[in-house]
Amino acid sequence: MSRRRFAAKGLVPFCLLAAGVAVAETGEQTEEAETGQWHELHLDLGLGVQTGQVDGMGRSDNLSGEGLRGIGGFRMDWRTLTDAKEPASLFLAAEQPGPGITRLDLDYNRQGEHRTRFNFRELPRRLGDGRTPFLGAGGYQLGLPEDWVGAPGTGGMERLTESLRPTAYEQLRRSMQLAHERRLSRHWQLHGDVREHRRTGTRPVAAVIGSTGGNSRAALVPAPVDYTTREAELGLRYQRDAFHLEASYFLSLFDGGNNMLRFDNPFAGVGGWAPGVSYPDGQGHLGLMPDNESHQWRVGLGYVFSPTLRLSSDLQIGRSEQDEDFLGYTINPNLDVDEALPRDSLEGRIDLLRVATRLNWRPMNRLRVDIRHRYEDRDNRTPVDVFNYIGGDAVNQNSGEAHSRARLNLPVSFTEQHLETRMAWRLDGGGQVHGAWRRERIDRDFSEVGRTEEDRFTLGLRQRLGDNHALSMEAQRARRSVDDYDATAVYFLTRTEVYTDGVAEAVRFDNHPLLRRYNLADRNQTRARMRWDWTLSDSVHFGSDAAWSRDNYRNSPLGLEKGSSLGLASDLVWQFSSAWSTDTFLSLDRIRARQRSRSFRGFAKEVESQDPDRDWWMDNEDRIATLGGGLEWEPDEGDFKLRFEWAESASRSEFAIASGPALDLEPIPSVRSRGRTLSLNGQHRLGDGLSLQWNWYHDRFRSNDWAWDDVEVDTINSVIGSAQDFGNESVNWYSLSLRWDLRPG
Amino acid sequence: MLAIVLLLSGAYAAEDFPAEAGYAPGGERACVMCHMPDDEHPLAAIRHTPHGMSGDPRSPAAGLQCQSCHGPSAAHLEVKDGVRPQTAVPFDQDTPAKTANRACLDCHDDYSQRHWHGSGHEFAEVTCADCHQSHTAVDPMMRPGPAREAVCLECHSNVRSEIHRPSTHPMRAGQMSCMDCHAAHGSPSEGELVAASLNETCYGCHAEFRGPVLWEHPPVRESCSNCHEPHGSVHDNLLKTRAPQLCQQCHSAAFHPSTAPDGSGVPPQGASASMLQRNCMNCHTDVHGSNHPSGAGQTR
Repeated sequence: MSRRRFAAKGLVPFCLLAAGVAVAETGEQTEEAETGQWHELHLDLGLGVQTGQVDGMGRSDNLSGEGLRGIGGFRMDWRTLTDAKEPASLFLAAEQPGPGITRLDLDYNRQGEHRTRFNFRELPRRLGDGRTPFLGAGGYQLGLPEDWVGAPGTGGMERLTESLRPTAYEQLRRSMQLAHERRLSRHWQLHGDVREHRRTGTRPVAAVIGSTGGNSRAALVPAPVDYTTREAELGLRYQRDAFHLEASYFLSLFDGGNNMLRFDNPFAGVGGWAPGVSYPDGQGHLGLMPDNESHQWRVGLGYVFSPTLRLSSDLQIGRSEQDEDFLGYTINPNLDVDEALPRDSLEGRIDLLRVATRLNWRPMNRLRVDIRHRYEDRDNRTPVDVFNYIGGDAVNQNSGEAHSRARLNLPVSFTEQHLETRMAWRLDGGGQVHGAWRRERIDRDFSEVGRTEEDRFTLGLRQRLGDNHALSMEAQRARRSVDDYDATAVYFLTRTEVYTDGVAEAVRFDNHPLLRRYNLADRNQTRARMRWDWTLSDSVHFGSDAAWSRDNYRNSPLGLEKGSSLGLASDLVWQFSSAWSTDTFLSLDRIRARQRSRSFRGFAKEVESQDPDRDWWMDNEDRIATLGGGLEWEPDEGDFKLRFEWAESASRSEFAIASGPALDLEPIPSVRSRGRTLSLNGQHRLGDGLSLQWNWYHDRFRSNDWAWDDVEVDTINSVIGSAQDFGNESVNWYSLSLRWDLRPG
Repeated sequence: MLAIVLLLSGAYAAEDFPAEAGYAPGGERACVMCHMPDDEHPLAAIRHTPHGMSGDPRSPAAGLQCQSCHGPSAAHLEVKDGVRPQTAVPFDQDTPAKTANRACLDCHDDYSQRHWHGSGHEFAEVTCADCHQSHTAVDPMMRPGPAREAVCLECHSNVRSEIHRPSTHPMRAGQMSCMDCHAAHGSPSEGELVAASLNETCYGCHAEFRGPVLWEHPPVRESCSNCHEPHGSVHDNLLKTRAPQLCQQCHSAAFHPSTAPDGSGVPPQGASASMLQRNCMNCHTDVHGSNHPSGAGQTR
């Protein structure tokens, strides 16, 4: 809160200073500007008050919280005289207009010579308040109260309820960008851009102890977020009549802050854990986001062979690296660790090569042909080693490689190519019929599938029907084929040979051999879309839209079998007088998916994995209805302006689960949500250069979600929950401010 | 009004309006006689824009003025049979997109529009004037704010609905813009994204996921859209499907990955760690990839 107040106070003087500097720089235009060149100059000052808050799914971003606070804004838009010898413009805006938004924009443009832009954004995001028994929330070391009582599950933690303390899950993102373009000569231009994104706050993470389904335990805790991303781009452009060339260098540096979160183990007495890892002696740790960097060299060229034939191509060569020191296998000194890490850091490196080429040809006045090709190669050069991992800081390390915890990392690589040919024929009356063929091929390393290929065909029509109607339709059909699905490929690639040789052949798999991962599976896809626009009169426009899609995973005995979506939408814009106008929209969406799996247990893996009676399948259906619109009133006199906006969204997710006779399943309750946003803005002219502005913003979110409703920290026996509750919340924001129009008379 | 007329008359002294090519004599002085501030197509505001800066030799105002864009329009000055002919390029719904856009591209067909030709908007014959307002002092597309997004959402009505779903990027509050991710004038990537690929676009704000990391999650590397719906979803974190179902569409190992997530795990019947709160992520917290030597299961 204090940071935001500081920002609000600091922005206005900064703006005035910046404005002064910028105007002074224009020198000879200053006097002209004072004689009527200010196009727009506003100053806003007022008060706002917030009641309530909405946290569900980060829905309402209002870090400031409840209470009264000052708001302000400054906006200047200035242009030189039309016949100024050095035309220039300056735009400067600094605003803190409501809950959760602070921004600053500066744009100075010496037309045709150079342009400088700066912007700053402050974006808060709330993820909800929760509770935790840990001390030091938000830091890198989480401890437990002295009188903590460890237990195998939350039900036995006698001091859990008494130890809870509130914790906020929230983040603040601050982004700054400074960009400059300068024309060096008639043909050359330089451009540079530096950006910094800083994100601080907390996020919920799982602090896990233990390693198997039977003995793993976890606590949802606030992990610190202290991310800084710095990006820079510097480029040079060359342009002649028929030839464009651009070369640039892009750098991205990500700093994730501290790379480890330590926490006291709140559990004790769990079977299978080594001595000394339970409460009060044991600790756990979690790796946080490692630093990374990316370098990219880019070259783009365009050539116009003739008015009907042009070529453009973009080449990008890059390298992403990550070499942060590894954390140890475990943080618990009581555990036996015989095998050292194979190396001290990842030495991770990915070489990127991207080439995108486009040819546009208009062989006839009515015919156009576009050919696009795109090639992307992600070559992961990270070395591969055996990591003899320790299960969740809770068990001793197994020595040697003849066990399932000796794992090899997979430097996932792929090469992706797209080739697309589109043709369009212009019809009389402004219509168009078009068709396209697109072929996509992806080659992968370290995957179940070496190659997927997809052909996609598109056919579309767009036509005006008389003076008042327009219709567009498009249909697509795609078929993706897989060369060979090796369901056990990743199993063998990630385990040592000495281990797999010792496993019974019938159970040498992780995922069920009949599973087909949906992004790697054979798929037929059909899509259709239609849009109808009807201009009833000069003041009324109606549009209607229908979209349908169906995916069929034709060779997936287990996994995602099919999916579909249907969307219907309509919108209406009506300017029913010179003062009144309205717009509304309505959409209805239905998204369906069917998946199938087979339940099997490790101790009966061979038998149960082959038993179709243990199959289960689920039909998911999401229905979403959205209705909204706006109403605007602005009388011709210009003394009053009113804008009302409303949006209502309701969703319902249904889960129909069924199984073979070997399983006995209970139905899953549906999940519902309902969101509503309302805003009402008014502006009254009080006198020359002074107006009153008021604003009411309302956001309400209701959900009926069994995953969060009434789920306390001790509801799940093996997981200490975060106690976030998103069920029934609303926020209101009221503000009143005065706007001074400071333009010289 | 008279002051504006006089001001405009004095401001423009260009005399090169070749009558033999059909250009109206007098340039803007002729236009402003009718297109006054209260006209349906007022002229004065354009003088505040780059197009109205006669001091810049590249500006239309320094050349053929209104007819730089509207074409030779001498006929527009006369009324024949009670009808005033349109300008050569009136930018109305009967003007072919190619013709309307040519008027803009005559000056703007530079490196900045290199990806325009063959882009989604160009192929769909969207005209520059469909989005940009060159006759107003401030073109909404050139300034941050809700007016800019409204232009996009006018056509992309499905996105207009999607951003009102429970889980979205912060577009509803105006904290993000369509242009943060999309290049409306075209780009080398699929979906006209601002970066060279979908993932590169996401890394612009989520660089923590760029990697590489020790234990990669392969679908994350190929495309964020394998699991996420960027415009909005009814499921938390913009997921396509609710977890654990989403995870189980690709994972069916022994025990909990293949166990049916049924109602027995939901209160009051039960409390499954795989279904409640962060579901699979109650343990597999580094689902985007882990760099921990003991993080093969992406739990640390």
